[in-house]
Amino acid sequence: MTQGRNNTIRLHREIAGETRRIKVIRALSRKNWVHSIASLVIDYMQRRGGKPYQIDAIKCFAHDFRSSYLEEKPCIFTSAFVPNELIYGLGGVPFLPEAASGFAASFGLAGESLAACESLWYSPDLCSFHRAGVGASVLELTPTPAAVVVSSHLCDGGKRSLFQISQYHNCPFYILDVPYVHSAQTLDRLARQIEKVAASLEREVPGLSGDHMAEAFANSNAARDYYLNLCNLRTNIPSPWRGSEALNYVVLFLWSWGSPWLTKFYRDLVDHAENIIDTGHYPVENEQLRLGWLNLRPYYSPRLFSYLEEKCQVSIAFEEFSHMYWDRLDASVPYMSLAKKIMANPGWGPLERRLEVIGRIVQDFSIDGVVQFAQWGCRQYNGAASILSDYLKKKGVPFLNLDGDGVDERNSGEAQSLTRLGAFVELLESRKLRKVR
Amino acid sequence: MVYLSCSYIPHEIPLTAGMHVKRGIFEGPLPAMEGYLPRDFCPYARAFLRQYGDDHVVVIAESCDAMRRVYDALRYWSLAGAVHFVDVPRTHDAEAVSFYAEELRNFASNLMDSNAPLPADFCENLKSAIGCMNRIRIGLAKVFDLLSERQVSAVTATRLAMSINQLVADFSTSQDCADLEPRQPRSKHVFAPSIIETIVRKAEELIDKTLSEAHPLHPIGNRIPVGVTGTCLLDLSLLHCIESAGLDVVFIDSCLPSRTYAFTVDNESTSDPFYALAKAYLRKPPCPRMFRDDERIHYLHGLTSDCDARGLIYFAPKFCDQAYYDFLEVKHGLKSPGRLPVLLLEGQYGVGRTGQALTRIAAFREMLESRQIVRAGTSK
Repeated sequence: MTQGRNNTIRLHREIAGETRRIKVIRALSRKNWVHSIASLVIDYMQRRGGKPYQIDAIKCFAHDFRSSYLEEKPCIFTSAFVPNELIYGLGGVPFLPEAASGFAASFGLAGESLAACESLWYSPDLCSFHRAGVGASVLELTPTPAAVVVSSHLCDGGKRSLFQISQYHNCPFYILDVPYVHSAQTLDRLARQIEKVAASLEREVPGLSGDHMAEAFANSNAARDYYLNLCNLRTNIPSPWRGSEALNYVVLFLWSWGSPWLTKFYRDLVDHAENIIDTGHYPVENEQLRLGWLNLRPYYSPRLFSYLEEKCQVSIAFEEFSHMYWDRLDASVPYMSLAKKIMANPGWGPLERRLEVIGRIVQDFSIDGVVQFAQWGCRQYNGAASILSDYLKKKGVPFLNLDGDGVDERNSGEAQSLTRLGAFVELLESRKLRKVR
Repeated sequence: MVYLSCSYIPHEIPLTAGMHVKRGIFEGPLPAMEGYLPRDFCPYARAFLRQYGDDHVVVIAESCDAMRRVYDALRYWSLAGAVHFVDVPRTHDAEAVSFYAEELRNFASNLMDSNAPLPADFCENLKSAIGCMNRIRIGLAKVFDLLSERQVSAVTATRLAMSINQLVADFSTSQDCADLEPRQPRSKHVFAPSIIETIVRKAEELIDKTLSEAHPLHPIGNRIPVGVTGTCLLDLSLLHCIESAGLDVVFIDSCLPSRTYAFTVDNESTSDPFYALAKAYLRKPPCPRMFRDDERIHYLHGLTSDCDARGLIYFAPKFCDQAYYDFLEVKHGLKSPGRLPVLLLEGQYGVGRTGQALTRIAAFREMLESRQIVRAGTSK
């Protein structure tokens, strides 16, 4: 690391105004003994009766965090929709700053990351998932990236914020320029780009090689099979798994494809859901209504969901972000497979693709009403609210566009959200009553 | 009429298809359209959403998340006769250029409403349309060069660019062109070289008139030179405001005018005009949406050095994510080479008519003046 870069980092941290708490967390995150103690704590949780799938998820992140913070493996920062089989396949560990922002929010760390970001002139009108990611990166609460890989589709903030993180850490930056239209030629173009990025990563980042690609693909496919089983089980009425919990594990869904832990996680989750259905001990015992949930959730507070699930006995039956949208990967044509996976994202391309998926979710999961959590600053998803509302109205499904912020509490009026959700539930109940009559 | 949403979509293609074409420039979002997009969307995207005529074609580029939603809304609510999408790559390597050339070819086919191959003479006609647009671009570049010499005001130059945009669109309704030949009907699918030639001649006349009227605006040294940059300069009000605050705008780096005109298409080195267009448009002065390493910073640094700008005013349309991120790169990027002060101004349409903007620009001018005094003192 050059002297100049050290100075820049110090200057940025000074401007960002790091607290003693941040300094302690930064230092601890890079200590071997802290990660060893974390393993012991997880074992203890397991012995105390933690649910196997929850333990798997914690182990999955603990394993990746250890590898990345202690620099046991090259850490590659990626944007949310880059297929991370590529990173695991090259023998690296992925890190998604925007997804990690959700973590930070749930542990009460987002405030400092957001403040750090804003003190560096980032506008508060930008999506807080990205702002918190940049802030955490500047405060070096995240690991140090060996390279950054982003895809150009879906979200402008994701790619730009990661570009700036790559400049801050002075590491190679790669962009997959995803074509808008799905055709043989565009797939081919994207596959060639992925291949080039993989080759360049192997060259530029010591410790990466494509030797693990087949293994990562096998892990991903195995996890996918279990996941499809889980989706099938979630069509059950009442719902065998809490939607609020599923929204927490969206982070895993975005992050860990290609990791062996994900296979174990979904296998245990399938067992859990089967067991719930067999025993009839459903999380929302007296399920009255079933909601479809679009976009993410507020990660700093569980109140919205406890209100829905416990007070109103409303299940979130399925989430848009949990929708499995790609086919099995073929390790014999790895880059083409990954290109197909990227292009299959229903959020990309004309909006009709997203509408079709939402329509299918409504049908398959017997949804009574749809809520879109309108994340502040998310132009990608919020821009479709009027169309979604009209589309669902034509299908006879009520729709609520619920303004809020997943990470930044300051942009969220929780009381107002509760009032709006309450009114929406009342509307759904009265519709149900009318139908019965 | 074909409305283009982005400076990366060539005028040349609709012109060759025999269609009226203009870059969509509006006075702001329409109240009647408020419900279609959320209020926390950039004003340009919201302004683009309106009820167009049944014979109007709207062309949206893959500029940003907001414009993709505009594309969806225009189609879903049937707000225009036809809506086309042009997938502009974010990189500009050889592969991206080839891809974009193909995309432009598809765009031309879509405009011609035909699944059949393009007419045999389309490429030849396209080449002559490129030649005509090059003449307009070269002429306008000469006018904008005079900004740095402070012989033409930024408002005058930008207004000229907007007049030419309108002239290309529909010369028969332009007052400046009232003396043109009898209105000739321009039906779709008919390339009319004589009409294009007439438009270019008229545009050149306007340019020549502006060039001939150029004269030193102020005694040298009286006013501080600044540059203006950003994603999209929504209207002329900001330039008015800067000039009335006592600063001279010596360059404008914005979607309109400079990024639309500050380049030419090399028609000679390839036989494929689509490839020539793709190459020139992707490699023109970079827009904040592109990923071209430090090129944009180098470009801006070059502009500030060449034009001797002492400060930079960055205009970000409210809720424009590209601008918010780009501003940071510009601010930090220009800090190291010359410590150029950068002022961020956010706003909607008519931002320059607000007292807040004027106050901030005046304060910026005072800061630049004090720096100048300090610098003069140090050099003594």
